Amino acid sequence: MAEFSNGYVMGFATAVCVVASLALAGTHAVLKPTQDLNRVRDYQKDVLSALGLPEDGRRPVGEEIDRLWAERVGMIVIDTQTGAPQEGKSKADVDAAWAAVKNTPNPPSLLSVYTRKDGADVGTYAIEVRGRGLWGPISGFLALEKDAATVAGTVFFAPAETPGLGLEITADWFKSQWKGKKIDDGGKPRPIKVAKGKAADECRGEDLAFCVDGVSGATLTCRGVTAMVDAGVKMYEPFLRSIRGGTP
Amino acid sequence: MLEHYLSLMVKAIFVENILLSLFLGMCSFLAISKKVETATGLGAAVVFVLTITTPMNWVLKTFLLDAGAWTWAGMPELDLSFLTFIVFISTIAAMVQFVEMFLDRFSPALYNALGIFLPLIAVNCAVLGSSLFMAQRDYTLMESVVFGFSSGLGWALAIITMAAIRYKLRYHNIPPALRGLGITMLTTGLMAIAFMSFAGIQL
Amino acid sequence: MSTAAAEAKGSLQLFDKKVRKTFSDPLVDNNPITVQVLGVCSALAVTTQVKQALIMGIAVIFCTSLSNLILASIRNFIPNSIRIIVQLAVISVLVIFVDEVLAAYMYDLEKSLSVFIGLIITNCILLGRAEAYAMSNPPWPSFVDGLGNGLGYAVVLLVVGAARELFGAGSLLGFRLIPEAAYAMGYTNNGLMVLAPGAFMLLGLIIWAMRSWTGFEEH
Repeated sequence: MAEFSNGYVMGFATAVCVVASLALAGTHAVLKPTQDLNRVRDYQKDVLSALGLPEDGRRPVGEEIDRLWAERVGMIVIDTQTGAPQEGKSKADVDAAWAAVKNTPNPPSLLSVYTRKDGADVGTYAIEVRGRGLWGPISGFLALEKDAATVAGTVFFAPAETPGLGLEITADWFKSQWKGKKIDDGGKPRPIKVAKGKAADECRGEDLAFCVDGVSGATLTCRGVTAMVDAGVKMYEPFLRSIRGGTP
Repeated sequence: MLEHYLSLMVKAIFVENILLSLFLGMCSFLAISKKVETATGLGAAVVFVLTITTPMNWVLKTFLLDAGAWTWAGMPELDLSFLTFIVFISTIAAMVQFVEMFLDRFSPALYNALGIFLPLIAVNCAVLGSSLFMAQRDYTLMESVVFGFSSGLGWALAIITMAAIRYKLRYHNIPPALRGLGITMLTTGLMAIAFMSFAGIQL
Repeated sequence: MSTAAAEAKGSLQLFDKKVRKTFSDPLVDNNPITVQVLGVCSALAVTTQVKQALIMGIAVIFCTSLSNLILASIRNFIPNSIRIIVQLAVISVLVIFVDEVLAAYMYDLEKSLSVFIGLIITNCILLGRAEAYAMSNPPWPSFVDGLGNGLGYAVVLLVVGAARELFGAGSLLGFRLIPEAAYAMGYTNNGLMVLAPGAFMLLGLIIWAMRSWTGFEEH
């Protein structure tokens, strides 16, 4: 190989940098709109799943997600302290509120509640819960029936947990067992417990409405889920009480 | 606070060992783990590289790459996160080059013993993997330092243990087709099962 | 007669014997994973399901063949002092391209593979073949070498992925294969297959089988 001068080496290195940057920037610019759309639809698909849409339990794809979202899903932004709906606020404001309390134990000042529109009525309310699993953040949506006391559906996310163990909380069997459980015990909020093993072994009789089966081998993640749902329900308590007490 | 970092350390070294649970850093692990001394030297070099590159990449990610990272220069809409992979690998390659020069000057014996495997640290999946996990899990600066250091320690632990086991195996009657890579894989599998016993630990 | 004539003409033939051997060697005889011991990391990490293994295999075939092609084309212009970083740069650009395309058209899969797509950059196969072949061979044979090695890698990945998904989850490509009746009779999925130890042992056994077949011995 011939000897290259220092000038050549610098020039070559610069040329590589420029070509690489242009190629990547160009690809990214072209693909970004599609990626952003995917990200939005991914989030919407999860909320739809918690709300129980579509009713036949299929997984919606592409434009169907857009249609269902536009026709069947509503969003209310509430003030965390009072539970009162806020006019004129959007999801961006809620995201900013969450970002402001990142890495602190404080709840954000604004929260979003997704609603399922059944004709003119509200069929279900979905509240967002966030917490910590074994490795990293876990989150999810808890959908409640019109009475704001019975669980209608759930969806959980655990991106940093181990497949087969902590990640099982995203599995269908774990999600579906939450349907019908209660968060309210005669007017007082009561946390739903994720049992260490089978719920039936740990909770008897009426308590079973506040208990679900755990994932074996993922005790810590399950404890994280219990804490997350409990904290989430407490955060939304003012809002939920207003639903139960009077007209929404 | 200390508890949080200690917990992160234990998790990264034992519960989710970067080699035995996440499979990262296999190539040099398989090739060099025949003598305990060289394995220790390589392990130490990897710990050093990891402890420096993970926080270094954190700084680059936070102030150059993330969405909104350029707020300090008055350009908050700029999002260069698509350059993450190439920026990370470049810092790692530069850091390894530095380690090479350092060792050549201060410890020629180790430099010669490690031979080709020193520059190969740059493409050790564990080193890039640690930075990528730091980015995915959104760690803070201190967490990156602890995580990088602990991942390195965990990797070093695995490679030194494997060297010791392979040393003991050298006079055993292993079937020809299983010698070398095959038996190492099976041994690593057993080591991985052993490390699974740490799965329930909480600090 | 025709081979001698072709060789006398010089290797202008696109598919002459040497090129065909460059392609077929890495499939079994010189398999990157089981013989050259390259690219083992991801062979274990992304093979819990066949779908993941398939996409990963395709990504590596794409990146290896193109990086070999590009590097072989500019090999005489690369200064020796920045050789490795130029190789890494070319490989990184290709990998980022794959990641971007996946995020746009197969979002769910990109989310589950995330970190491991980026780790293709450090996959020893790409850098190994670049150093060993592309830096000293013309573009077309280098491209074929990349193709062959990528394919050899993908084959091992698919075998491991199929075994792990079948025994670990009872399905292949998402289709349930083990009937409900078997589960009712007491058959359970082998959880170890989904976790690290199962993967290591499976690969060890595959290597044993492959090396017994080809007679390759290590010292």
